[in-house]
Amino acid sequence: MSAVIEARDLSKRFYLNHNPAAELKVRVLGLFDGSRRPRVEEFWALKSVSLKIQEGESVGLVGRNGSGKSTMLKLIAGIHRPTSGQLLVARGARIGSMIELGTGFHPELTGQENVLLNASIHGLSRADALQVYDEVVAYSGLRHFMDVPLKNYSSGMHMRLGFAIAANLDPDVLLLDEIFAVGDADFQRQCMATLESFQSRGKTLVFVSHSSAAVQAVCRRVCLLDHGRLLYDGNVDAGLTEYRRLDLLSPVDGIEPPGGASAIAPPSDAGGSRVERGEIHDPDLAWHRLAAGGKWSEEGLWVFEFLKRQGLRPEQYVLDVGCGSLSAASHLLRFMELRHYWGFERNMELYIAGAQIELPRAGLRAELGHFLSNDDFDLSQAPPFDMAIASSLFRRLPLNSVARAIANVVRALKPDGKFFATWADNPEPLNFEPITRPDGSRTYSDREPFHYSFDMLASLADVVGARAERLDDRSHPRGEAVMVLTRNR
Amino acid sequence: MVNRTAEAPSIRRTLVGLHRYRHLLRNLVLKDLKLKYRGSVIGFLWSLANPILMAVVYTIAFRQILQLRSEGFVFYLMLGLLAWTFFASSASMSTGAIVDNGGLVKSVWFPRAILPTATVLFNLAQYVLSVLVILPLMLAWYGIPPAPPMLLFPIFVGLQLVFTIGVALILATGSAFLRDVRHLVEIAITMLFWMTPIVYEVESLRDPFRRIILLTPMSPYVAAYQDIFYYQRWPDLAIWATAIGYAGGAAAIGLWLIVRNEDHFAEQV
Repeated sequence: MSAVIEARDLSKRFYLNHNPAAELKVRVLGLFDGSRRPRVEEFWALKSVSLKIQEGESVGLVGRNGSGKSTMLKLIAGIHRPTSGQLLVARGARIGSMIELGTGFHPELTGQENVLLNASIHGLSRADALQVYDEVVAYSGLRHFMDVPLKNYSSGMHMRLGFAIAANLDPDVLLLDEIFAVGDADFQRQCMATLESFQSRGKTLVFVSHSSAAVQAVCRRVCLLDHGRLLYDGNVDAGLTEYRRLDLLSPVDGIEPPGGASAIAPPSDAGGSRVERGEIHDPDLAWHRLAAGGKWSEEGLWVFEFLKRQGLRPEQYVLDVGCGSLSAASHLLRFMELRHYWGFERNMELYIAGAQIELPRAGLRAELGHFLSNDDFDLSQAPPFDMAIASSLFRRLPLNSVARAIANVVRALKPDGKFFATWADNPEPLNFEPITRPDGSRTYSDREPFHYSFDMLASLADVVGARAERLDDRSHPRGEAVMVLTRNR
Repeated sequence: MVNRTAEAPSIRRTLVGLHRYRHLLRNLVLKDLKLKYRGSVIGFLWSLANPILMAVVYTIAFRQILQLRSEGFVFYLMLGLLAWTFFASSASMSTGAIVDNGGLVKSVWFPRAILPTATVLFNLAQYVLSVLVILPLMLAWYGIPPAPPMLLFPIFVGLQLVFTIGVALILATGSAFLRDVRHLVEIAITMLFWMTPIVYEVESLRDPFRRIILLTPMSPYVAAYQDIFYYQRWPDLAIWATAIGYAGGAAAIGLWLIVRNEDHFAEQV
């Protein structure tokens, strides 16, 4: 691996003109009267930022409004010039920027004309543009609309076309600025799939977003900027925690909290073809679902049906470990007796999105169940459970966290209680290479998303006082294997 | 690794960029032409309406009201008016070439000189189309046979094009930093119109004025068109010198300005 982008002590200063309209007058008067010189305020959008981005990395730039995220992207894209410091970019690397979807679109031009014009804005020759055109049309699914002027497109179609162009320009480094702030769930799923394939081809991604869930789903590394300085650079979870802490400290004005009031939008998932519908959603509205890996509703339904197959009855107590944005709760809260469903989730944002958006959509309320959130799987407050389930949880946890989860959940079970867990299976314990899953995602032995061999998990369970048994169940929507863990007597 | 910071802006970089993005230039010009005529019934003929209408008004004013008579006045007028319209609308549109494309300038990198250049080429296309329609008609109407000086026409159009692109680069850059440029340009264009021998003949002026008028920026080009078509004579040395000098000067200043400032446009618009 080699560095694609390197910033050394990079700074960028802007001048803020408070009254540009008066500029000529002020300049002329300034010639005669020193005190009337234009008042210009300096603003350092970036201050001494040093970072190195390797080929194939996916880096999330997070920070509050005005922290310098977009300036960083624009410097990399060559739109702004650094004031001081150095910005090195790999020779010959093609940099694609999606700083705004659909820039340069003209409403009077047809879809086809806009695609070709846009391709040339991004530097493509006519021959290349024509070649890309077919791919863009196929990708966008707007074949029948290509001879229609853009003014007759819905906002959803507009974005779909913009993203289709950006996705098919196929740069080596892709710069994305908050592009998921718009678009319906379907569109966001498509974006997500594109980014994944982009990553799997070893391309580099620099991703600016306010949405923690989006960053979590896309990035392996987070750079936190604040007031133009690089505060944190490293692990995604730690970076996002730091960002959330900053966000809580900041005054309310001018800063959009992740999942603020606008996140509680009316449900709009019902019916309509993907082309005709183009409502604008808040990012978190669809993102909390995408954070689960794209099979949100399938997985929730699977958990419910699976537990019923295992003999779950309404009067029993059930624990949903890693309940996320409540995909399983949407079924279980209705099925179980009042407050017999317990959900546990470390990521409060996901839980809040679930409680504010998904439960009302299903006609339910969080008060029907119990929810716990802490960082160390502390379940000491919970009643003994008849059943517990963790679907797609272990792929997000390193081995020590898996151990802690198993130990604490099993301890919270009734003596004959059962803990069902699904995991991304590694059939050969001695294989440490990445595995490509049937759904196209990749799992790794030493980084997230993790895969483990059954034997490894079984011996781990043994160490923490549990017994693991593999179940012959292949119905998990993401193709994960299932085991049952019981207390070791 | 390429050091973005050390990569100083240079005329060479801009010219290489212009060449690399020539497809964008072409597409921008085609876009403007398409948009202008899309959905209108007589399409391109609208571009002829303006100079023809002006010609009618000036002809009535000068021949009927002021009783000034000269042979082929309409022809003389049209030669100047068409060339003037090309220059004037390029100049006034170029003030918005960068400012009005803020969204593009702020989110994609490409050589910024493309924007004002596209504006000028769009106007050139209309000028050439108008000339192709009106010139043969006029020559036939007045029974003027083709003469050797007429071969110089493309050369002077080329010089006027270089001059106009230079002016457009200057005005586009200027108005990005100072919005007042836009208003100044509108006033300057009106003044310059009367300081260019379009509705009157230079020959009719006495000497200090004649020289001053011939030195105004658009005069060499307009005078050259009148020489080669109306008088059917070779333009004299003074016209050649000013036409080439102004074109070279404007292009050099325009390029220098935009190269020095193009990295700052994204902060200004």
